[in-house]
Amino acid sequence: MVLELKNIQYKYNVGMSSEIEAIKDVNLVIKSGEFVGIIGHTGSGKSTLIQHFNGLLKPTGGEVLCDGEDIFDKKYDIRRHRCNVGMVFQYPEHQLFESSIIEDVCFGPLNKGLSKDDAYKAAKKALSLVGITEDLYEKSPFELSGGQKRRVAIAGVLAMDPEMLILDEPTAGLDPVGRDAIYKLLTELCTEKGIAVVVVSHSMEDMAKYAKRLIVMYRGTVLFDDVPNEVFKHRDELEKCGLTVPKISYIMDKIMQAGVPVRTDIINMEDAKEELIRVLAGFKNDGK
Amino acid sequence: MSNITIGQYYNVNSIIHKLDPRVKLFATLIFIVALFVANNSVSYAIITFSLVAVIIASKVPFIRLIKGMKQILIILIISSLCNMFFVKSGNTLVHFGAVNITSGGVIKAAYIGLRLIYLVIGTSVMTLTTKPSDMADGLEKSLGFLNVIKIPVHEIAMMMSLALRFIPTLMEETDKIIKAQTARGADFESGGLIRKVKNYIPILVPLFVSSIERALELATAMEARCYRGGVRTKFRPLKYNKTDIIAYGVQILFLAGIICANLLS
Repeated sequence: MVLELKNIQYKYNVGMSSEIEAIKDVNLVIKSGEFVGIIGHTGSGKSTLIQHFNGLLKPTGGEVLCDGEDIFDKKYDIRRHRCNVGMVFQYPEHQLFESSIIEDVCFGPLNKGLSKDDAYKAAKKALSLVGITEDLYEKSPFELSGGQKRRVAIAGVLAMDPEMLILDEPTAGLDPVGRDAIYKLLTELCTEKGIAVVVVSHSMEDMAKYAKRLIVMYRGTVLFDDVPNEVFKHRDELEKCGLTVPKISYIMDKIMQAGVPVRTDIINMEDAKEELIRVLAGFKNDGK
Repeated sequence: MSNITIGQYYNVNSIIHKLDPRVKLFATLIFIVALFVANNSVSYAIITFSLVAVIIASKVPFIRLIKGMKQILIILIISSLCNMFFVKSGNTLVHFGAVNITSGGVIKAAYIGLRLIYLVIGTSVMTLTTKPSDMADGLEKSLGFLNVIKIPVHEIAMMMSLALRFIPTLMEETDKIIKAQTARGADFESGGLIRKVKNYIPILVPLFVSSIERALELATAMEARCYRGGVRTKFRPLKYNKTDIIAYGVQILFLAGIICANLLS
């Protein structure tokens, strides 16, 4: 699946005094198997942008193409497209409504047109993916803890078996264990099933660790679109947009300023560890 | 979702905006009374003139006022038609089987239609030019005398202003939930009536849950700041100034004009 945004422009409140251009001329191509992170300051247009991917918002200019077809074309089955491009909103647990977990997760597959049995199977599969055990299936979603609710809600989207998954701050308000579990799941979906994963996040560390491609939004435009390593080299520009680079980069900076010749373009813990070991080993050899 | 005119304050600086909310509440009351006693063209002319004058003074774009009309369109048509068909006075204009339209009926229908339109516009002017919090203050102060007969005026005003405060929040929430369920392939258009009602369950349940949770949180937050209801002093107590007194004078003149016009006819 190839999703292409061509010269997308989106204005809120068209024709009113409060008209705002939230997205200005954005061009993007997202392909199966990609793990894309989107970062940006509050109000930079991230959430507006991702709502174009599955046609929840219709751009006021430009077009959205899925495998070359315009998704807003009258002949195009947009509901089918929405099932193919799963969207997990911020705090998705707020959308739970059924009396039992399994029924709630079945909602998507049933809308897709699956039979009851198939929907149940899809729901079971999705729930086991997010680590919800069978003894919880018949419980009310409102009895669960916050982290469990979040996972059930994500399962509700996964159960539709999407080819692309878009998540708006999926780890907001979760503890570190819950956060890592979600990113682990997303990475697996991406590498093993070839699902395109798009994550909006405010955590530079998470993005440096998991994203393979990073898009920086600034005032409704794409400022950078590259691998995280390259993006985080533009430290000054990022800071001007109200963003930062991962904390470890700042730490490496301090170490270098203290007189230890380490690389400063490092953005995650593992690389930092290796770099320090390399440099320290160098010292040892010098000492001999 | 965003075309509900009532309760949406329009932020500009005008004489009407600056008036004390009590003056505006009283004016709205007088306006409604005038609408219901008006029975001839002269009184309707006075009302029309005054309403237009107030709208111009308020600097609210006319489009904003018209938008509120969509919601009452059906009531408007039905009540006008009823009057046209069932009021029998004056000359017969159309006679067709059981249908008998008279000139009196047509005039009555026009008046009723006008009355409804003016009612909506008049009250919209009030809400468009008054912040909900000011309105609640004004109501609380104006109805303060009801405290004597043990009616908790402050609490009612507080509930009212909270309800108004949460209209936009709930609309946003609804919008978000509709989008989330649409993303899960929910369909709100197809099916018969029962099916359509059922389609809305995935929206209503989360909306109720979050409203109740929000209310509980708000109650806790208010208690944490020692809210106890009852008699409280105000940060900005309402005070009349010169324009307010003049506005009251204009209202009395307006009402007197309507009564005279009614008596003369």
